[in-house]
Amino acid sequence: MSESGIIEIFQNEAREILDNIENDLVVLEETKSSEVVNRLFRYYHTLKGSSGIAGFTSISEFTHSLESCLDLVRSGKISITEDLISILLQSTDWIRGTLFEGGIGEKYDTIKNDIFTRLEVIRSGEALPVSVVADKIRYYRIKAAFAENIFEFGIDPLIVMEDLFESGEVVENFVDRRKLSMLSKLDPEKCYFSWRVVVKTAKSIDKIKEVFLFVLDNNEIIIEDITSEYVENLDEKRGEKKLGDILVNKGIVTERELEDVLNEQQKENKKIGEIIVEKGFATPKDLNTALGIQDDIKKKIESNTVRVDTMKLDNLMNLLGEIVIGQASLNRISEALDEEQGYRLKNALYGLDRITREFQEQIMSIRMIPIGPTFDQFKRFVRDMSKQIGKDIRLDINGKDTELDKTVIERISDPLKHMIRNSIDHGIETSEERMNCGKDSQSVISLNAYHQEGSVFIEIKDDGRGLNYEKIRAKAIAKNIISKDDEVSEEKLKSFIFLPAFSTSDSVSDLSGRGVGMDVVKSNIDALRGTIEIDSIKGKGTTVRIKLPLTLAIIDGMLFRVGNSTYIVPLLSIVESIQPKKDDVKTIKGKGEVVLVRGEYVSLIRLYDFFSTSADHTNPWESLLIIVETNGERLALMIDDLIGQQQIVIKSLDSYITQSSAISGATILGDGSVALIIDIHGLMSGLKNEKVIE
Amino acid sequence: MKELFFSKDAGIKNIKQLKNDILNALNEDSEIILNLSNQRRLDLSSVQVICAARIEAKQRKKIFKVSGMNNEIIKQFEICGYMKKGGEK
Repeated sequence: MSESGIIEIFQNEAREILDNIENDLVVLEETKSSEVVNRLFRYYHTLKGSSGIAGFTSISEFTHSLESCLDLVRSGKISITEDLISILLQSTDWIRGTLFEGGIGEKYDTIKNDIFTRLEVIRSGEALPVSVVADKIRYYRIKAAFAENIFEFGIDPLIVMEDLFESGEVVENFVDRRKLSMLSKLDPEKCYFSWRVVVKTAKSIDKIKEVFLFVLDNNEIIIEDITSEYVENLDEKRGEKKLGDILVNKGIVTERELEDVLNEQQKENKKIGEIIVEKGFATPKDLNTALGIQDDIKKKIESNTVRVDTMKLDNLMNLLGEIVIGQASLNRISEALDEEQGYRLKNALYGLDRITREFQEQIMSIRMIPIGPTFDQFKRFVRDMSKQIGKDIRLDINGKDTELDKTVIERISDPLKHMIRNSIDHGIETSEERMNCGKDSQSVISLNAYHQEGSVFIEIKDDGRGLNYEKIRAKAIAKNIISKDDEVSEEKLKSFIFLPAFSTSDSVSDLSGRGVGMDVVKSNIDALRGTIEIDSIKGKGTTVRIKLPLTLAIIDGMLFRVGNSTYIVPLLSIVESIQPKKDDVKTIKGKGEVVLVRGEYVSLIRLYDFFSTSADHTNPWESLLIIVETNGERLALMIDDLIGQQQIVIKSLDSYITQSSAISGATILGDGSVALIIDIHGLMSGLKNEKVIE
Repeated sequence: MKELFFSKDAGIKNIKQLKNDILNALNEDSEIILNLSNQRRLDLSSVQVICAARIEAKQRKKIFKVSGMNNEIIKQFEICGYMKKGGEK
């Protein structure tokens, strides 16, 4: 593998590790959990190792210091304080900067030195009795190689080893007896045995050292705390554990017997288990138990996930799209065939369609990833922001396992962050204000995700002051959006929040208040074919609910024709299709051409005009109208004919083909022709902008 | 078959004696049983001699068995990586 390949793999790995570290640091600050300390230690340890391999020596050295610091936390020598967490969080920033932003030079050195200085202060500070490690299970690896003449000193190493075995649960015991010869050649006054033992215990390393107190001199005694790297039932290489080793470790077969078996295996080429049973070293039941353990180990080793380049997934999806298009072509061909042949082909295609759909679902499921990591990244954000502005805020996260298309997840992060920032800055009151109105001084922002009716819902809920409709109304009047006399519903007032440069904040803070954001949030969500709605109760809090499609790659669409061109509208946007009466079509000043649909005037769009194409009819009452809706607003699209509904594989269009916001992509139809997919929201926004320009 | 009894004061002081006793027994018989029933526990030198005796017996195609082990001795053999749990070997 090339050096750049190694670096890329490391960067991807490091990104994940840093995300995990950040989340766990915030969790640690709250929970002081020893489990989290251990996990963090492992993250730092992995980061240290892989950064060294990838050639990022400075990161390797840096993480080594952080790892040492975590070790002090584990051993109870330093306590988990807000300061410590802040420094460790800042450390992740430094690593990120160094790794992804080419962070070198004086600035980064200064930050690093500052981190080290602050860590040193914490290290040298008064150690508080933290219960983090009090009852923590640790793993120690002990290598005990006794001097040959140890018996001369009146010491029996077996007593020492018995003491060790009593200090905890021995999960590995390897006795090296290779020096032992046959009895006739043995000097029985010499010691030949040495041990390598892994002990699982709640005792401290000092307690383990005490076991060897009288044999530390002249003997090779090495005691290591391997808690961070040890995985029970796995060997050091974390590779597959051999059946023989399991049987020996379980005490079913002795090492000598195993040696015999291995020798015989070389001669007879039989399975090791078979020989063991044949020789009577173990019963078939023992063997099955060992095989079960081996399976468990394999499962632990073999990760259930593989890292796949997303490009490959996209390519797979594109290829599937081609299959769908091919099927559509065959469907068309079947229509041209005589009845019997057409029937047979259609039948065959029906079966193929079933498999294709299943195939599609499988590929889609690969693209689906849980929203948990996206939610988790806000833990630090909320922590830092709330401390910055002096509010006591807790972030609750629910539905972390809810899965969304990878692309949706990538694009939802920024809008979520903005809304959380809004909650922190505007929605949540200060602790004092909250206590004055009888609320808990600590406020809660909840992030929740769930599946419902084929869509994914994400909620951002706070228990703050709720929307101030009076303020919104006043701002709308000040901005000439409404007049003083207009009676505007709360629903309408809420929609103003999403207008560009609309902010009710009296002051502009570092966090928000410039009125830049909610319109962008809405645009981003619209681009994901999602919707956003707000529920707010004054004094109780606000809930922002985002509805998103499960995937962006395939939609159910309605095909229709305008002149010789075929277009598609997402089925979800369609309310109905009608043929209007001549009298229902009118032109209203300032609104343009409208059509009366169920008592309400709806803007009429002549698509042939909009797309500069031809049409069978130019009179709306001779054409069909598709009534579409987005964000509570309706449009009537004038078309020539409905073709039918179909699953559509969306192909994106490069910006040099079209920059129109009214087109969200294209698809290839069964006959090989291309149909444009109309983005109703984009179309509506485009029309509004045109009006503004007029 | 010859049954050997472990001396009550077995240990490093008398380990050479134990070695010789076993070797003599192996020279005389094809099957030796070392009875440990009068032992509460063993020291490492004794364990080593017993293990070396097993190797010796195997080389000579003779049988060497150990009997009369209490739980503590079984545990000691486990620590030395020899015993099957339950103490059958």
